[in-house]
Amino acid sequence: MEEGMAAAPPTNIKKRKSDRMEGGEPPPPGSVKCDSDGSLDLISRLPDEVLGTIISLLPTMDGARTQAISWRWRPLWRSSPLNLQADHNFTGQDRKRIAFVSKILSVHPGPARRLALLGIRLRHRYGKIDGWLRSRALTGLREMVFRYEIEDPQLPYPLPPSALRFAPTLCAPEIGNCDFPNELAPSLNFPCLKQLTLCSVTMSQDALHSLLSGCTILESLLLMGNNGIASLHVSSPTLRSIGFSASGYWVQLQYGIMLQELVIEDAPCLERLLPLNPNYGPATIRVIRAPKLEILGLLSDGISKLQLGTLVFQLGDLSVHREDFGP
Amino acid sequence: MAAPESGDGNNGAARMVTLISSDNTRFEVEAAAASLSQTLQLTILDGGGGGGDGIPLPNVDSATLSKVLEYCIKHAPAAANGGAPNATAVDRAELERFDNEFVNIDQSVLYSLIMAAHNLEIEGLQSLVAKKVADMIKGKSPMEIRRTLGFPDPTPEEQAEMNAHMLEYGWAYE
Repeated sequence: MEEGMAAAPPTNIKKRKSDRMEGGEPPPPGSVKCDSDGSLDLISRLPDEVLGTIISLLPTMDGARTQAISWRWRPLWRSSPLNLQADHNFTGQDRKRIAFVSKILSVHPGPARRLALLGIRLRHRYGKIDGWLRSRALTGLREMVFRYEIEDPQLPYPLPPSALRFAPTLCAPEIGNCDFPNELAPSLNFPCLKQLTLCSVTMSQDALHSLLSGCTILESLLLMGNNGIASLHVSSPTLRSIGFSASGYWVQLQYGIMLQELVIEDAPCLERLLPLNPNYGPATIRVIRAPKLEILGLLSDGISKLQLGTLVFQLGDLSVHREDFGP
Repeated sequence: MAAPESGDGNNGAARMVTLISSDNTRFEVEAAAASLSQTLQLTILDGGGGGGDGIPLPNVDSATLSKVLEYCIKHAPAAANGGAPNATAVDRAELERFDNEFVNIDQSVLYSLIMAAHNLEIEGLQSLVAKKVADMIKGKSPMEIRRTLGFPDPTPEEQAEMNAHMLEYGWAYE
């Protein structure tokens, strides 16, 4: 990093560079002490932006703790994109977890890189969760994992519409164990979304179709155990991989509407079509146009009809091109 | 300068460019590898760096540049493949092995590498080195982080500030 003896004449590259290198925040007044002696830890000389990237890769509490390591690091956690992961590693106690999420969202000014709310118990907390999702700290959210813990399957578990305010920036949302606000689907656009995961979500067939048409650069789609979609028709110029299962991670749907038919109408880039739990269907898979399809996962009793172009297989137990079975 | 002209349009596979480090060492490398750097890509697309000219990199010394280029050369084929959707699991495992080995280096080298990746805007390298440092920090107390990163012992004021932070951010220390 020494400017030194560079014999090379300055170019536009150099100019831009050195501007950026000096981009760090000036030390707070009266704390110059470290910089003059050569003994300063080297890492603290990196620009704020670089240190911020490092901090936003850390788990939430680790990130917050970096504020204590020195004056140089003090302001960085608050000025780096927030990475908020509230799962059972965060703390095992539900009530504490709720309090921490509220706390962190109140002290961090945003923006956010990632939010993971996993196994959150809804109970009487809809207003609180909605409030979290509206908070300024989460502005610009790129990655989101949202999953309730289902304590009583008879009760509704609505996904707050505020979770969808991040549509313009989301890259890889994973939504599970909730009821999707169907009425919002037609108005949503996800210009950055490449990977979509829906697991044990209750939503209408129409809502899913609208949602998918709003994902203009979607490459990977994972659908497991969703309720309300009997027949899914996929047309996408960008999609490369679809993983699907009529059954969920944890339980079979005892009631409700499971996926019975998957139709790939037109997917010119589709390479992988993977039934993740083939014993449970869907009963019919039809591929009308997918010229790049290379891998079709393991099939089984649960899938009774497979149609590729005009070729129809009535299946007992047949596997085609066994290469990749995993999600 | 360097208003992106249409240039030569196709950057031929085996086209070579020369990069010149701050201590005046010249490195000849395939344009495709050097183009992993967003910063260099423009200049290269513009036809720069060929022949006797070379692109001076006054902020990167030769030791660091050779390390950076080692990374670029290894990753160039996969990058040319559009994020390597067709890469086999073996290719991917090999790159991962290379990456792990690659950042197994002294901290001073690591920081020079971070700066170079940042200045040259080499996305994959930027996240690789950032992740390495994050791994060094993860799961540690502020005092342990200071030791890991080679900070001097805290002055009494710094110690007092650390304690104050631990009180204020009690939730981060459970």
